[in-house]
Amino acid sequence: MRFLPLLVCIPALFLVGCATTESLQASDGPWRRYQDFEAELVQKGTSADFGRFVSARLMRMLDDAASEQERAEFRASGAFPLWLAEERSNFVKRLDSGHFCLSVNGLTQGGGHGAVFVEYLPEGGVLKADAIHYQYFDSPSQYVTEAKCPSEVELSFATPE
Amino acid sequence: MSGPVPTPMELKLTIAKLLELSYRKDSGMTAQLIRQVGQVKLAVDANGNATLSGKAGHIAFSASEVTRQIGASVKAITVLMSVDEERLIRYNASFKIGWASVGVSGSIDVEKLITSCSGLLCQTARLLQGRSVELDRQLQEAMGY
Repeated sequence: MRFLPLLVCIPALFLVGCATTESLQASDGPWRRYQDFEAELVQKGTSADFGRFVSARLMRMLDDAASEQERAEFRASGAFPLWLAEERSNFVKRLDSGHFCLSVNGLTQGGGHGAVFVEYLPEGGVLKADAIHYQYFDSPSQYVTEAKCPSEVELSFATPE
Repeated sequence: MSGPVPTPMELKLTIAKLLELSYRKDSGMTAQLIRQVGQVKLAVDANGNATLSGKAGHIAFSASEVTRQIGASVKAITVLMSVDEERLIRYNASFKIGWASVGVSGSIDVEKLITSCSGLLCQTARLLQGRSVELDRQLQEAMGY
């Protein structure tokens, strides 16, 4: 049975790449995590457990927020599976760092076209979102055809002097 | 901010309002920058300090009154603009909001936005304190709505 790991690995490549070191199964992959987070948000609304789905780094920003309003805005900006009203296609790639990037095309809540880009990192044995970018499109012809990370799509920002 | 993530229209209107503020600070330089063929960059940092810069020069102004309107969690804005021979500004913008960033692209009709003192930027500069719904509507039109 020495070829068994290889046989398991090859089909997995088509889905999320071959995650040997983190022992992540396709069923725990980025797209599944997106769907599980969506179910959590739909079911629990504002009391959803964000800590299960976003990284400790992002949760620290929430803890450090100056006001309840700011915390609410962090959560609203991070409820990424709700931004698209209808998901049409999704793509996943695995980075050398062990992170994953998920890109999802679809119709936004406003009825326009867009894509959401999420970078996931393995944390506590599961994938958690660590960067999120929403991109509005004028037409479906702008839909992405391969996975891209948020850092590949967003413009760089100025930092205060 | 009416929804969790600003709409394309809210983002585009914010870009127009930032150009207004730049115009109010230095009308001559703003007009020169957005009329000259080439690249122009509009950047706002976490403290609300904004700059409009291009080949013709550089303007610094405060954008905190505009970023407050779109939401307290707007941390930064970058707009890369390209002005072509037909005086159309094509732009790509990213807004850093809370945990995420939001991107939109589009085009601005320069002549509709700024021509003379009958132009929208000049009117807006005068009326900014008591701005009207009609003015927002006209700005949206210049931004392609």
